[in-house]
Amino acid sequence: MKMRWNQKLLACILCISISGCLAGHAAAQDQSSLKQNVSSDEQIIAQIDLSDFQSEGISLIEETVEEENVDDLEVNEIPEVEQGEIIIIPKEKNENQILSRATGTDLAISNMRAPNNTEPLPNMTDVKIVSTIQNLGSTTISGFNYSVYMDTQLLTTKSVAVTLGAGASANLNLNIKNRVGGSHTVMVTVWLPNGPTETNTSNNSVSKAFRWQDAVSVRAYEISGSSKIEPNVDHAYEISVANLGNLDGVDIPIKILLNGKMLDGTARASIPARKILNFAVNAKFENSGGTSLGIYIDPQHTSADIDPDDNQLSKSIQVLTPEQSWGGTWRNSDGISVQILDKVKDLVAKENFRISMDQIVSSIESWNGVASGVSFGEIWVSDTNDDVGKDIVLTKGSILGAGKNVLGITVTYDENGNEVDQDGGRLKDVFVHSRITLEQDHLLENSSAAQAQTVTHEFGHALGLRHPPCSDTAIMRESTATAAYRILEHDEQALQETYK
Amino acid sequence: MKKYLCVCIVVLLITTLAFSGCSVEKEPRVQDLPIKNMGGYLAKNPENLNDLEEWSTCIVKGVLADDAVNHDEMLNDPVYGDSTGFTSSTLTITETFKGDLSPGDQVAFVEPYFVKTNKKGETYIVAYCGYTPAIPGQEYVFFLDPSESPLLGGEYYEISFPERSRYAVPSKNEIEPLGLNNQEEEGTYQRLYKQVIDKYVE
Repeated sequence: MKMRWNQKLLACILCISISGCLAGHAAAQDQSSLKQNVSSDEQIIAQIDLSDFQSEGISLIEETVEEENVDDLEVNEIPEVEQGEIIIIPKEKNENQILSRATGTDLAISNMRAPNNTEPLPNMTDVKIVSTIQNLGSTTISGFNYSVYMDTQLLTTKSVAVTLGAGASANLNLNIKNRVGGSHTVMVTVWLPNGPTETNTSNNSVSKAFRWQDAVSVRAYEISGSSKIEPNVDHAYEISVANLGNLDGVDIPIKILLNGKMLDGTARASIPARKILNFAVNAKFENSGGTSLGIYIDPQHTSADIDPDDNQLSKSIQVLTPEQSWGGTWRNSDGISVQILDKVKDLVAKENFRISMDQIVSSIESWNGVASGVSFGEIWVSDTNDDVGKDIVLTKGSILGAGKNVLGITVTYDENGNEVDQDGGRLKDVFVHSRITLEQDHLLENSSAAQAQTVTHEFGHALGLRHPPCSDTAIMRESTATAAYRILEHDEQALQETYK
Repeated sequence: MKKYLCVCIVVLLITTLAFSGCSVEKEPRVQDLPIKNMGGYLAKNPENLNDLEEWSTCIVKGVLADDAVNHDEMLNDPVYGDSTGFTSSTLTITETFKGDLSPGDQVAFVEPYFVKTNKKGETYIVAYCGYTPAIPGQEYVFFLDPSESPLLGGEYYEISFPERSRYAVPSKNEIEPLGLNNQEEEGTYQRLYKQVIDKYVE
């Protein structure tokens, strides 16, 4: 059964956290000073202000704002180019009289102009750019190819079928719609397809600088982050908005969309010309199922933005069920006892094992205080290799068949002595025993940080945590290459949800 | 009456034999058993085909024989120490792309899982680090590393990364890859699967 938009909106709680400000730029900057485009000698700094969301009861936790050059990305503000007519110029009207005709074949292009407009040219409308094509040779030409560039960026390449007798001329009409404003050099090059060698190729291109009207041109550029997430845990999304124009965009309103519906608060962003503004949003979804997170820049078209068609963007997200997200829990989770078998001392004593027994114990205890009702109690560094019945046993050994990159594994058991599936979606599973194996050979090839990280990670599994399905940073990620070196907020929230 | 009794006994015997034949239990196939995954931790995990190729000693196509030997966990073994459970079988190499193995070679192959039957008689697979057992008779592209263990009396081969080192060669009618069980790996595995099949399967 499909939920209606408003039901979904009510069903989800979105926490947006954006904080921040750049050095020397307080968030409390006077908004009135941002209402107008600043003059060229006044430098603005990319910033975003979500104070409005606070009044809507949305918690602001963190701010990360950074500025990036548009040119550094594969951003495509490519102007639209359409080929207009190819018009043969009658001899009597040909202003480009050919005084000396070359023997052989010679195609030429010259005299680029915008005959219907004066500069600055208008943005977001087709501007007719005309160039004159001439057959300077003594043979007839039946067609040619051409490429159009703006500021060295290739816009289009096309073929034209047209008969040009010796000495004939034609106008190549191009309609160029610019969406970024400013001065740009347009260049057109022409050449003969599979044809004879030209006697002169130095006249095969023409270029001219044109100035378009100055403009702000903002765009919802990208939303990156996890598309599959756990419920009730903050997930970081990076949102990028760009100003492709040559004028600074100041005090641009941005709405956050949830399931396509705008939330009440309004963010205000200032984006310098030709810059991309990246900022982090933390979103927390309560209910499982499909949803989406989006942005809509300047939805009321109140800014000077010249191109509102690219201002909206959404990312689809699947919120997993608690059963899909968390593992089991301990029956008696407060004061879980741990026995470190005697043989672990042999591992610790090895030259390339870089952490002490105290650091192992410390790594285990780092989970204490993370969530109420779950903690490690006695951690016994024993002198025996016999399992004497403590809740968790830490040992060393070989993990055969899993490859040389495996550093540790955790097996948890239920009251019947059966292994508990950590990916089976059984939140109700109750652990009564666990056995953690540190890989006795592979761990030695890793740093002290990775060795301590492995201990903490495996004890996270023993508490019921799984590898996160999302891309958020956490110590519970599946490898040292992607995991944090200490317990992070995502791990904390995951444990709190598991034992809620 | 005696004749009637004989007929009844014969019918009863035939029925008993017929039903006893039906009740013979077949060994469950590995692909039909439920899997319980035990979480692990890796030093690294390839995100792209280049890493997978670079970080694996051997890249081969091969088929597993139906001769799997199940090894339970070895805890506190006085000779070998602790070992998690595993399964060993014979891998026949059909094509080789990297490493010293040659087509026709038969090597010991160890997988990080074992089959367990609990007190209730329920049989299931205990697998480590998200591994899903390979199916005997199915051809795969394997990314392997050689290893050694006294438990196996010498050299054997194992997958380089539990969730990203084994890709079923699809039959002509099969376009969907045989997925792995671990949900967080689906995206990366499916992406790698397409790249592996494009490169190593004609």
